[in-house]
Amino acid sequence: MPFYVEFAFPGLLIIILALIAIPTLIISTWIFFNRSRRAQKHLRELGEYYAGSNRPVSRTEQAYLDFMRYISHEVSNPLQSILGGLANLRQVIGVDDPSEIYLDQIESDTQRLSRLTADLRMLAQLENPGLHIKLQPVQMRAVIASVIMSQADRAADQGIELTYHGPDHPPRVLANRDWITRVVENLVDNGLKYSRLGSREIIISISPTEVSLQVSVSDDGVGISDEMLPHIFDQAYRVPDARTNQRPGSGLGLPIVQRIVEQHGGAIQISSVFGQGSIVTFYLPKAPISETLEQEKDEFRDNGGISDYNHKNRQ
Amino acid sequence: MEAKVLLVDDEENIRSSLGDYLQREGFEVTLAVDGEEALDCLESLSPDIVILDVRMPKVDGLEVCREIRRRAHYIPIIMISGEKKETLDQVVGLEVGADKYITKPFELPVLVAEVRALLRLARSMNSSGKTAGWLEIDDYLHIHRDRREIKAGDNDPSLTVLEFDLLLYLLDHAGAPCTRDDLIEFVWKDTTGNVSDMAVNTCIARLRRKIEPEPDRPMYIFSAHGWGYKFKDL
Repeated sequence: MPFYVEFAFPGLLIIILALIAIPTLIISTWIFFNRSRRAQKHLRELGEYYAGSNRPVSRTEQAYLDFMRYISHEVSNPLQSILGGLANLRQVIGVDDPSEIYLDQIESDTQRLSRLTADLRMLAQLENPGLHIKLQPVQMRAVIASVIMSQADRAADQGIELTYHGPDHPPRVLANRDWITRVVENLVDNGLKYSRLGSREIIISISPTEVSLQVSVSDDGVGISDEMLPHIFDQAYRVPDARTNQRPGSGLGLPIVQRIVEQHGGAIQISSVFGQGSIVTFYLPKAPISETLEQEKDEFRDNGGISDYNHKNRQ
Repeated sequence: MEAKVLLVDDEENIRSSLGDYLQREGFEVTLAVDGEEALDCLESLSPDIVILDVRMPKVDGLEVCREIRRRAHYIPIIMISGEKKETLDQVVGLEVGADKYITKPFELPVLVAEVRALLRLARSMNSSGKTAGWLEIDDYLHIHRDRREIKAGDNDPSLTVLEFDLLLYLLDHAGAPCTRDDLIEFVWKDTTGNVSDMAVNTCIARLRRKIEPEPDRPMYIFSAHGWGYKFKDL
């Protein structure tokens, strides 16, 4: 075999392979992107979006998820029976019965176990790779207002005011309303739990960016030290001195918050100054403006700035 | 007349504790250990409401639910389960046809409140004659959903379409505060930001003048922390 053939052969092979591979790669890439674009377009047309990942799950992960699900499920029945027994005891014993104090103790710890079970179940659900949950355009100010309304009394008892900073009509985000309410709820709850003497305010603010909505919850509470900060999203991690201060909670609040935000394709960050307070900021993708919405806007302009409802009523 | 509750759960402790509690709250309670037993006594008992566990041996809660829904007479159903509703829907592949879904563990007063609310609704749906369709909030205020009429004491004021929609939305969320943003989105059907908070306040004020005996001291529609309104707990 002449020496040039010996050299040319692998060279030629590479060229031939490249000639085959490059178009294949280009075509398959094109197909892939086009497919996902088509899928996205299809979803847009249907007006349906889902959160969730389809990543493969390892055997260890699966075992962990099964275990969590099993625990939360098998624990809920006995817990229900304890809560039932307690409620009956309350009905049976009179007011000012000396045993009431023990009932209070049992009840408060049973409720703590119930919350822990609910949190574990939520976490297991969020970590389930097969999870898909429907997303809809959500008005974040409504979510924040509902959390303020439900927590205002508890906050007032601690001398803390819950305030909203942001536009009256921020653009809507693509989210699952229940879950995102849970996020704001957990963050406000943390702010109230880790408040200090002299804490005055928890501010929940919205500021829209180009593609997303930035939501922040800031408090003037105890804050988190620099050593603790990196572990704050770890499961069952709680700021150590918080444990001795007997603040009720499962330590699953922030991990749940983080996973919900991530399932929405969003991001979350936390910053804190020890002794002065913390601020948690998360970003959620804006909801695409639907055609019907555009149509409504056009009608609004056509009506000379009178909204559809008012317009009809005046007629 | 005591309302008849059929309570179905295969766990003995849960059955007895819920049963005793409901009995002391003034209900007539019948217990069943599984779906089969529940279906057997359905005909003879004709319960006013059914509380159903989902996972049970023999016939499960979902099957019982389907069977009850096949009947002409509307019977409210409350499902209780250790699994969340989303998980269950995913497993079954469709919406569970219950009126209310409660995840274990729950507080018993919560269950009783749900039972009372559903019974009130069922009474207005199943009654006939003059009272047919009238939801009696109390002796003073009565609401007719389909005819879109109300009775407030001796008056029967007429409400505008929007006022009635607003009242229904608040009523459907009775006990829970509704934000102005949600009222604008779901009652005014506006997502463009063209309806102001003031428009909501004005409409609430008009509605209060029509349904409240003393509009300045409301007993049905309350303000909620400056962010919205709440219909009284039923």
